[in-house]
Amino acid sequence: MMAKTFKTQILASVSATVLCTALIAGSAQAQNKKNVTTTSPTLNFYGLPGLIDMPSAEAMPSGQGAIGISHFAGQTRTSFSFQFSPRISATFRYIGIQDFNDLGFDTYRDRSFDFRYLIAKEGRIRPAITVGLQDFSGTGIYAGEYLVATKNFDRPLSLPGKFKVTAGLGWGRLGTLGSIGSPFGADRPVFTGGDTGGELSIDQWFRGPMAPFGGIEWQVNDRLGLKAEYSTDAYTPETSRGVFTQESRLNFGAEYQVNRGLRLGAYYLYGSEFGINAQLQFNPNRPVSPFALAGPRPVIVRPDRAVNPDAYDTTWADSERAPGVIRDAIAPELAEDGIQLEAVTISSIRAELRVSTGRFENQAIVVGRVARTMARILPPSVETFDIVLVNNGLAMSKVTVARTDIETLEFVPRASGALLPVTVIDSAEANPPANALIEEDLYPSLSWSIGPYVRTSFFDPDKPVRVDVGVSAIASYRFAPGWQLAGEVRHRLAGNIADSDRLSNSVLPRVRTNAVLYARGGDTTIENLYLAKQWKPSKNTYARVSMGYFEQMFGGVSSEVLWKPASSRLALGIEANYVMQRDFDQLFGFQDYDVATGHVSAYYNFGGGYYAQVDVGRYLAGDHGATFTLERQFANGWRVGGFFTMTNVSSEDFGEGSFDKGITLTIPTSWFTGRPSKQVVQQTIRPIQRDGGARLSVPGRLYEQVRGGHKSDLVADWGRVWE
Amino acid sequence: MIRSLKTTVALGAVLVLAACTGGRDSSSSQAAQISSYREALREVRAAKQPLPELTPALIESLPTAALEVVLEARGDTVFVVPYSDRTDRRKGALRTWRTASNGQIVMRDGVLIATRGLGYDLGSSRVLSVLNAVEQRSPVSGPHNYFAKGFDNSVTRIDLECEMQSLGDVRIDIVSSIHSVVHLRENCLGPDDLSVTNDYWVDQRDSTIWKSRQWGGPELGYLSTRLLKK
Repeated sequence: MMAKTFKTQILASVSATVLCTALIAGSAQAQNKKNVTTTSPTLNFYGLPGLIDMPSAEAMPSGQGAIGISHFAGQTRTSFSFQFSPRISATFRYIGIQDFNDLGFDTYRDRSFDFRYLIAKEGRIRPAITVGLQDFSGTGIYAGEYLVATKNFDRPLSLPGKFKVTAGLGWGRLGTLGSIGSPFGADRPVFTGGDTGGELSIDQWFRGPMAPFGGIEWQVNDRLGLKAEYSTDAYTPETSRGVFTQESRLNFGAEYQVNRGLRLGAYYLYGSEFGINAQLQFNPNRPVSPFALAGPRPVIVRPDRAVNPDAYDTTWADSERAPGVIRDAIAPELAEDGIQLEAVTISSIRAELRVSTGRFENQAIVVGRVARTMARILPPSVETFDIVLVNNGLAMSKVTVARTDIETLEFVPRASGALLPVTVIDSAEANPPANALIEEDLYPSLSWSIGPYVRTSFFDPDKPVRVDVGVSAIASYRFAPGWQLAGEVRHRLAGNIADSDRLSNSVLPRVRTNAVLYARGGDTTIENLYLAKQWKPSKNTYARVSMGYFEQMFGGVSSEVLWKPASSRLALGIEANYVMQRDFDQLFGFQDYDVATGHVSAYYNFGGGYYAQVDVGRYLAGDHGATFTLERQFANGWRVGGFFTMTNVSSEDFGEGSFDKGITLTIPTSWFTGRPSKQVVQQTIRPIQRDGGARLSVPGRLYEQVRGGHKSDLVADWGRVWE
Repeated sequence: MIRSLKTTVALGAVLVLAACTGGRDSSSSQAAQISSYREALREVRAAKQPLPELTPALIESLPTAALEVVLEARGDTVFVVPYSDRTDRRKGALRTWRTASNGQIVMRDGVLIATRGLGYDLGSSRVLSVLNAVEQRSPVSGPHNYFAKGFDNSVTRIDLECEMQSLGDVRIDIVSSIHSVVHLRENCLGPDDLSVTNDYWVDQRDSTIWKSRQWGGPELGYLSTRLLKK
């Protein structure tokens, strides 16, 4: 019965992951039904590039993500790994060890992070070399370090396929069998469990016994792979508690490549246990559907001025009706492309169009489409186009292009690259010029959606995945430029988040750990309901004021100012909020707890898709500190990041995990559908949600609203300007 | 709290089917995303139209020029018609062909230089030596540069060095229409041992490319074309 319950829980723990990645796996299969050849390294039981239980030195292709689910001897490990750069990768892991029967657990559950750095890439003779830190900030049951080398050999000894030989040195858990000494000191504590964990165990790294491990992998053909390894893991915490008996140091396995993304394996481990491993690898650079946008209208080239000088007559600009006529011609054509014309300013030689879009995340496409339309419709004398990109009333940037370049560069070799140097991208004035013709029909505007919602809760030791489902109604009413009244009402139809009996034990103000009480508070709730106004006080600054119920747990007033020149990689912001904790029923009332919270923020775009953010300030529980965020954004909109927050709350007061940290994943809907869209699927995964370092979730923060229209992102997207 | 499984599944299915949105704002709500996936699926189904059977009578009845294009990597065949014709300061007349769903194929004198709306499009390319060869109806070797969009939506430059050869004069049959052409083959080598072969069947009298097999980039692959009506 116990085993059945455990299996049920394991199934539940992996089900969400499997569901989320089903499309990904399907895409890999659909894209390549016959060819399963992959150059990606295979994974071990920890979800890392490796043999069976031991790591190897290979790195996955840059940007690659991997989900590994392995099971043997009552131990299940679910891992998510991401190759953040060509050399750096990180792993988050959730495990369950059945029949642990210690530390208050029947089944011991734990979360851990790994970090790997590829010191040397494989050369003709030199092997790849990697250093790795395993479970470097958890409670340490898997804590270990390694230095490992791997070399590939094609068809050695005239055998078919490829051989991969791995040899390494392990410390910590990976140095508990066959030690050859303790070169960096023997003073390494053993795993005891039960502490808060979460802190970097720097004083332990590479200390204690060191042991050599190794193995070989033989990829016999495209599908079949065989592995054998010598393990240096004594599994002391597990064998001492009777989880299983270790009879051997050798492990063996066979793996089958189902398609380019999915690989399944079966193994015989430690002379006593059978195990299985499922490895799913995916890359943001390989979308489910190729991005395809219906082709643009052709540019109409003006007649040669020398041949037809009359066509360049400018007297039309003297007519008061000219802006209106031009607007009436341009707006419908842009609207067909999903672009709204907000304002027109025109003279005989220059025109400014202010445009916004709810359709394209890639603003370079917007620039191209608007420039084409201007070249098709405007009188020939208009030579300079100013295209002001607007998002929710905020003028993000002004892109200036010459009409002649639009006419002549579309079909030259390196067409997009040729247009960029002759294009000027700069900050836009806050408002249109005084003589602009404002498109009045855009306001008021009502947007809405009705449909299902799913709320998840992860890592409850009793039930690792809890889910509520129901119906949600969302509305957003924009009654004037920059103004928004928005809200969401939910009605829960089913779920089990409220069934958890793990109520908060926090010694801090319970600003985040009362999630179960909120879930029990009621079936019909107001998720958020707020009024917001945002505007540009000057050419390079943006401002926002919001009031209402911002999120499930807090409401109040929020204000923000952001400095961000369109061509700057750096942005600075300041946010001040006064909020009160909402009643558990999530209707209109508040509880007694209120707090003034806010941050000073610095944002920096390093280029190449790497973004960093530092927020310093006061958090919801009244603690002071800073949040550090690093994120990688791919050209197609995928974003993968990590963050951690250090505040003046002690590890003991914070509780399990010691400090707040997590990973963020953003996948654009267009990656699945191939259609242009601003929609994204977002998920933040924290090992544990506590009350320290908790930040208010307020809708409409400014940086995210404007960065896509600024120079760095526009240049990154520029390859699509002619589409 | 938990209702029966059947009730929950039934309610969930109804909600998924009933999810709907309206207005101008883009929303990332789960309901809005379900609507997007549903719409994409509907478009994919709607795009699967059976192709007409090509006959001389059908081609004769066409009011405009027509080109058959086979996207070999996808196994798709499309028929395209002229969308716009123009010239610029470079060699060769520009023609943009388009499909019924407004995918576009851009050619200079019948030589592929760009695509739009097909996915993994060819952004632009340098084809001067091929244009010279087509004009002269004899081999001209030289560089062939591609600026192709990859899986990640960014543009990759691919420089190929190409040797062209003539495979001789042949007669080809395009839906019972016979053309005397010279078969020019362009063998190209690029980075990472990339090998590309382009074929052009060029009219011996006026350099019209009646048939071709041209590479459009690593993901788009080869486009085989037949000019059904000039």
